[in-house]
Amino acid sequence: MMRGIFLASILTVWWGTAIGADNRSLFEEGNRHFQEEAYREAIDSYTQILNQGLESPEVYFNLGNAYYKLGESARAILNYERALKLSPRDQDIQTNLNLVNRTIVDRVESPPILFLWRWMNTIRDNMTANEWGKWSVITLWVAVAGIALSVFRRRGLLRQPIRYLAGVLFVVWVVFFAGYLWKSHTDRNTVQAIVTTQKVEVLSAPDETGTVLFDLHEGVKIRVLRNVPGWAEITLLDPQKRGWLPIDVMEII
Amino acid sequence: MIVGVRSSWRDTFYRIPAKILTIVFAGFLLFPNFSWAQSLTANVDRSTVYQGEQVEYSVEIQGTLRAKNPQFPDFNGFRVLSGPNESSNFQIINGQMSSSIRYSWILVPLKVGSLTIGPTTAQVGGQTASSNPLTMQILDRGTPTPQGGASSGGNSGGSGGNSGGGGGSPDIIVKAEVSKSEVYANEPVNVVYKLYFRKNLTRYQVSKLPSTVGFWSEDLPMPEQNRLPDQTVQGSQYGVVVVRKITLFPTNPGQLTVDPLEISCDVQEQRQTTRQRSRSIFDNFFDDPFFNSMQVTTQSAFSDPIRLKVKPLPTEGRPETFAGEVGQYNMNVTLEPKEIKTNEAVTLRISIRGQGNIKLINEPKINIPLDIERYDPKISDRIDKNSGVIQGEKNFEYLLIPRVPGQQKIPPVEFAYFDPVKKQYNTLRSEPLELKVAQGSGILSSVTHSVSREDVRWRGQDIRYIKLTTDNFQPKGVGFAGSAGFYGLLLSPVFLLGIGFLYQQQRDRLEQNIPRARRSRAYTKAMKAWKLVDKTKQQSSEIFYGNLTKAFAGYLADVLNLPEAQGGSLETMEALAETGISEEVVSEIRAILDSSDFARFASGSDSAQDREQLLQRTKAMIQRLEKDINT
Repeated sequence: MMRGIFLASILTVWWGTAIGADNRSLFEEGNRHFQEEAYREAIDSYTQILNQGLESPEVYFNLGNAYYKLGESARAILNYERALKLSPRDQDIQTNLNLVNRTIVDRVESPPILFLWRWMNTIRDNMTANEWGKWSVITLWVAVAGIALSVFRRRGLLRQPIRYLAGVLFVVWVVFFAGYLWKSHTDRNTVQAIVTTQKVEVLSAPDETGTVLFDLHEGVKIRVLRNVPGWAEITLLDPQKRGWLPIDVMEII
Repeated sequence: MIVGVRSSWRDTFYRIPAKILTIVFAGFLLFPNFSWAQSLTANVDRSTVYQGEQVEYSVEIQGTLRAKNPQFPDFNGFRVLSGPNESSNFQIINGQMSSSIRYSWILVPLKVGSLTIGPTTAQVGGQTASSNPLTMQILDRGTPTPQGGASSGGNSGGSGGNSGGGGGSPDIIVKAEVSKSEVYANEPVNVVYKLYFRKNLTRYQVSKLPSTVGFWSEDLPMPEQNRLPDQTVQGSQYGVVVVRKITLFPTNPGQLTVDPLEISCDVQEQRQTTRQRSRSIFDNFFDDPFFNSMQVTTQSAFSDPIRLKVKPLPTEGRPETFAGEVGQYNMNVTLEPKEIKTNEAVTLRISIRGQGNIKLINEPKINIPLDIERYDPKISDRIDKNSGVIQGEKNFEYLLIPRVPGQQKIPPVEFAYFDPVKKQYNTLRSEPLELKVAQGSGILSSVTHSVSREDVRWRGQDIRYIKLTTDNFQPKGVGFAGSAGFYGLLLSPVFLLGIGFLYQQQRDRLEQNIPRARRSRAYTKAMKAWKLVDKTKQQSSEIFYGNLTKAFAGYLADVLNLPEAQGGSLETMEALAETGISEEVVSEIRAILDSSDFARFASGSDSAQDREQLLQRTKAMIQRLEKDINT
């Protein structure tokens, strides 16, 4: 029994490293193609990694760059957004995304919101749900360790400061954990997509005969509210603009 | 009483309403019962004309001041020089009102033969009325259209004015002569308008300037002596006068047309009542102007439109810096002074001199280093037209202020142009300019430093380059957060803390119950004491056995919650008996204590073996008691 588990774990580790090495060479191959300005081939290499169900912000970023070089703004934006989702504080990704966003047709502005709310959103989106979770675990452990030290040690030089520190850390943990809950809730409830078709008409109903409400062009970021088969109700950053689009004109971030 | 109201819009023929007035007035005199029927009457001033002569065609609508959607003929076979010119006339004569509108055109017949002008229709007073069609006879001049002997190549031509006495030759001819008929865009073309006249001219003036759509046009100054030697055209001798000289720069490639120029002249004419030909000497005598009354008539003539073929500039060999200049140019670039201190001004002067459209010369490209502040240039030009071609110079003066000391280099200034004569592009390049900048004076330099420190400027924008390394790939959509491990890690410290608290509470409770506390710690304490006993194994029997007794008696006191000092006393034995342990054990305990006490004071009688044996017995006893006694 023990032997079986041991063998299985050895196999898993070996398999994992083998896959890792394989994908790393795919990544490097993609980079080489990119340097040789063979952007289509670079895209192929990067996509092979993604097709195995694996991802990393760097793969998405490089993929976005390759699409940008081919002039496919919508695909570039899509991949930058995906990269940013995994690595929200990366300046390179933000810079490139801003640059490409300047080339698209639609200018969508979010309605003005309370600055405090905006700040909080910015802080929330500054870290991924994973990071919020990781930090909440770390702070909790440190806080608990501090509390344990201050409670169980009868006498000690730093007993009082440790107790205060533990209290502060506990508050920090509350912040991180609240951040984690909020961020993961937002992630679950916000489905965003990029329009990948050159020009689409947003209709009033999930039906070809619906009234055309407005046009959207390639590259614009939309939010998916709900689905019916073949159709999705979407809204822009400006929630006033809302309507139905066929599902195949967009790609979920 | 006659009241005439006259209004005219585009009409330049002021004489006409007066004429009508007369006609209408005469009509009233002749036909007192003139009916007010509205009618359209078409007229031409002459029904037989030479080809190229001007004819006035007019349509008069009577009885109204306003005609609804008049339909005019399309004048096939004529060139319309002006029209429709509209004038209206309103009169009250002896209480009788009359009104009319008149439309007139100035036409030039283009074909020889019989030409018909169709009817004009208009809605007047609810009815549609139409005028009579007119037929005209157009005569050939008998000789071809004069082709100027002076014209230098290109197309030229002219059409005559009113022919006074017939004979096929018009009194005045206007000719436009172009220097070339096929040019490159922006290449200058000179056009000279000449007036040919046969009779005395008292006055001439350009009455209509050609519009120059599609051209940049520059008037050239007229020579003081604009009279040219007489020329013979179609067998008649003409005096020639240069009326106007212009230079045109066609702006875009394609077929371009310069509209005709119209000249009106006052021609002095002899009123000739006698036969013109086969005169006798006698006749000739009376033919002298002295005997003839002179008549001055106003005549006008048009030049033929000029057609130019404008070729696009060749794309082959076009320099990157080319900005559209065509001509022949030189460039002179100076930088003054060449040595300077920081924050002082230098003048960079670019002077482009040559032939071409000087006014349209663009600023040449210069790349001033960023450390040198550059101000917008002062642009001036000077054009000289006196030699018959447009030439001159254009100056660009830049004020430069170096902010950083050192040797500054300004790359060569480049200016590209197309030479239409050589049919090729030419690029003028100056020498690279060098500027020696010394540190300015102390006070200034401290200012300088704050000035010269500036933000790094953007020169271009592109995406950031790809990432060359990557972290480990993660499975998509699987994260640490939300996993069982994550919640485990979050909950476990809380559990641990809880367990810790329970332990702590237990301990506190034990500490408050002294007998229980003493009992629970008795063994630990005994073991500590035991170490001391072990250490003193080799020492004197007094110390060794003393320690042994103390440890064992201490253990017993703790277990039975008795004062330490009573460890081996009688009370101890009684208390032991009360705990319900067997008699043997009690006696064994007593035996251990007794033998220890005995050996302690009977020094020298024990062996190491005895000590070891007693130690084992005591140890076994403690372990046994630990099991048996529970309070």
